Amino acid sequence: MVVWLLGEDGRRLRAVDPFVPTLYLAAPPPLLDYALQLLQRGSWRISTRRVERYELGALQPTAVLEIAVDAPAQFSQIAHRLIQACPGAQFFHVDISLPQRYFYDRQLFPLARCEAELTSARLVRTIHTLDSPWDTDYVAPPLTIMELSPDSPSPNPNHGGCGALVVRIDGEERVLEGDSAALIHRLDTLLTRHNPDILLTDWGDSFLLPRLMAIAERLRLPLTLNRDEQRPVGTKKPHSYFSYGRIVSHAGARTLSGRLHLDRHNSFALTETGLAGLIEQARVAKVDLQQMARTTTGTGITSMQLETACRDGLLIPHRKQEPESFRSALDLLQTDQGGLVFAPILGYHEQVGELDFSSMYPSIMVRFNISPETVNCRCCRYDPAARVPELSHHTCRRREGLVPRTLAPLLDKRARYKRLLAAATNPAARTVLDQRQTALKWLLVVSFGYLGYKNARFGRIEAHESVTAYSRDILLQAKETAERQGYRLLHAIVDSLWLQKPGAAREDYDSLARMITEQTGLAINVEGIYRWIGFLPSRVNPRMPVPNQFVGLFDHGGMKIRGIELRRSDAPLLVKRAQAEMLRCLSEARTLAEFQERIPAALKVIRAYRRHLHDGHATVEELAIAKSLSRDPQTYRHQTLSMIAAQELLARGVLLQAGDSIHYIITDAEAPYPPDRVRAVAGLGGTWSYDAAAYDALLCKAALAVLRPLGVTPADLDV
Amino acid sequence: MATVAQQPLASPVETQQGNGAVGKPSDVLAMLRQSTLPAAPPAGLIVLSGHAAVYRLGLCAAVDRAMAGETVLYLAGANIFDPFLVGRLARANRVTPSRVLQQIHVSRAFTCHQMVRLVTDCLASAIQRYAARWVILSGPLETLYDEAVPDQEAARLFRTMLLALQHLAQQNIHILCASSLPAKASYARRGFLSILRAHAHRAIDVRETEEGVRLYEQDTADSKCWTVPRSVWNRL
Repeated sequence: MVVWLLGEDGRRLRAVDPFVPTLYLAAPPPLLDYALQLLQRGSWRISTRRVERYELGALQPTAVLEIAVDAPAQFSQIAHRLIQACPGAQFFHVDISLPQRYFYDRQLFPLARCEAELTSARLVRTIHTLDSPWDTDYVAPPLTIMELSPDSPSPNPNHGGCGALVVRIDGEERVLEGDSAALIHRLDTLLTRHNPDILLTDWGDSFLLPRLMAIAERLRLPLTLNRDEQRPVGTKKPHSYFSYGRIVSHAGARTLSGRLHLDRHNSFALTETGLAGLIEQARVAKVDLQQMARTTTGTGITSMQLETACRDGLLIPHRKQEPESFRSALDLLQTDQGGLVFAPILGYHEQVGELDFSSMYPSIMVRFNISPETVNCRCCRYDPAARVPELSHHTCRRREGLVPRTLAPLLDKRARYKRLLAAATNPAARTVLDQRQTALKWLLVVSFGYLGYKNARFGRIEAHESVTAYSRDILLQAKETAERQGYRLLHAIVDSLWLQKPGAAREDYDSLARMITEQTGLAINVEGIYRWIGFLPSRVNPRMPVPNQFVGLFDHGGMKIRGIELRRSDAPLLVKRAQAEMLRCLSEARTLAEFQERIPAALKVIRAYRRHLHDGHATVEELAIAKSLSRDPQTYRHQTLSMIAAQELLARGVLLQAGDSIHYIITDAEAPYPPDRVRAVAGLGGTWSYDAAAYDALLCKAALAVLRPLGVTPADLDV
Repeated sequence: MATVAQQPLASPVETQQGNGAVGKPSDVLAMLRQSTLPAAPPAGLIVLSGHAAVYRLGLCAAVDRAMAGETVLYLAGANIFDPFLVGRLARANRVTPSRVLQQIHVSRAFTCHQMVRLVTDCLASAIQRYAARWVILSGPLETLYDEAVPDQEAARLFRTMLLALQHLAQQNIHILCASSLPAKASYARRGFLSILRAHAHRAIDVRETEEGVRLYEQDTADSKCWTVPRSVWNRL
């Protein structure tokens, strides 16, 4: 295993640690003998022995053949060959990434502070960490960063409209222009001179690095993207996948050796949690930084579970095969219900408190010991205290499960970060702490989904159902406690409650939160007290309440907004700005009476935006609508606006796949000839105009979403 | 291979000859009984394939058998088991939904490995435990289209599942496979459905037309056609 070390003297060292990964195989004796023969015939550097190991939740050990691979580069080849040749065998430990295995085995983690002893040939003799992934006061190593960005007015350079290359390092910015050879030469010079640890790019995976590498190759010019010159740049093709019910496009990857390439436009972790958050996730999950940047958060939580399993000496199966047990459809209907929602009481309310359970689902998993192997265990089936509310499931009261053991330190660490954040005053320190706690929040969020996810290693649908059953019970307990104290429930969703009690102050809500925490055993906190909050109705049926669609003004002056245009990624900037400005205007009201008085001012804002639109002053940036393609553009059957824009891009030679975002402007929504209806933003040139009526309708819709519950009608918006 | 005699078509099923129509949701079950699932057919493997309506039809078939007092094992591969449809159909036929829901035993498979394990290892014991004669496989092939599973492995799993289904079909068990056309499957896997159909005792093609959902059956002697009108289908 190649390990890069940053010495205290600032030197970057490439060392090799002789790491021997193992895989396991269980099969009837004839098949096992066949596998052994196969291994002996191959020219692989391996050693084997017969051992017994446990699978998760198994009462008896499984007899397995342990195959230790002396040359890790041969590991995948051996595993692949055996799987192909012995389809009747069961395989374990075969598909965990080797860097992760290395981290688990050596008890290391990315960017750990280490003490290593090397031979003169730079072989690792010993290596151990000096800090822990659970520390909260660590300092990230002093890594040098070079930023690369395309100088492009286009929202996505892959869709056209790209110019020069912008390079930033040491606080300086250079714009590299000119012919291709000069560009490659200047970039290579900068890379050699600065030798950065991180290449932080915009569109590096899908656009910059592939094009720069192609130009360098075509012109036969050196371009030392890798610090480790013995290895090629790692390449992964783009692909699409489903996540939480929607299709997501992944731009593929260009990964480097000896240096990190992080693409801001191809990293959920980087976008959501910044570099400090990405490093935090990589440290606790023990996933290499370049992979953590590009993978789903679920891979992080899975890695943590895999490490727990490896530490316990458990076998990790190649494919999850255990299906759900048969049960009656009535039982299924009663058990598979999800979280509890109390529909909101429509309209605007004054002096409302919001209470949120902290990391409710992972806390339930830890508190009630919910894990695939603890649900419906054999030992506690007759223990009434082990029963899951409403369901016929129970959880183990004797042995702590793998999932709770993995999540408990994560919950504890996030709680510590939140305490540090509350006490911190330095803005830079606050930013880092906030990014780190957000990174952990995401790991905790997905931990629940991974109990039911089809590809989760340690998922089981009964465990998933048990968590939601407990959550329903706890939310009901919280509601009843609040009502006993004289509060009125206005709305509740899974782990949050909106409550109202005349005259109640912050201390009263804090006291209620303590009461609920004591009763349920789960921490609940006061998110805030709203001066006013409006639960907004469905746009289709104004009498129909919609969960999680509201605007509220906290007593500290901040606003919380959910479910309206301002929060939607597909709303044009113009509409978002208008709605934000209107809400800013309304936020000056401290009471509902004042709120009513501010309505004319809010209407004035909307009218001004409508005039701006109809006068033809709106810009491309204000009008662009971003949409994610829900399928491959070639398979669209209807002439939707997204499809028409996608067709325009395809005709220009742009490669598109399901999940890609495209940006367009509505030019004439009612045009009989479909291509006249929209124009793609990328490469928009020449003369163009926009459909003022279509955008006006969007503006009015956004205004009415907030104002209709107060009696404002479409006629009131007229200029 | 066992052959299944076609039952004569009668009202309320609309045929190509136009001798009847499905007038209300409860008629759909009667239509299925006459077309796909006659009340006392010889056991065997029936494949309903084509439009995504097959999943709903498969569930309708499960409800019909459950209402007749049979225990039905329902293997959900496409993760679209809809207990509310069961309830609606039961109510439409003036039966208490819970009674029907209790007669249908469900297991959901989220991966092809789980689906194959269900069919090969769990189904026989479940048939025995619940004294079931009817098995509905909803989307047995859909999990095999998962791109994360290599072609070769998918093909091996498919063969294993097919053998197990054939074996069960010979054990006096009625097996109905409801499978839609692969939306995005590799070339190697596109043939799974036709192989499954070729091994079935009856293969019924489901299409969506202007009029509604149509079931076609072509056998050596004759071709048959049944229609669920759109107005009825949409009320299911």
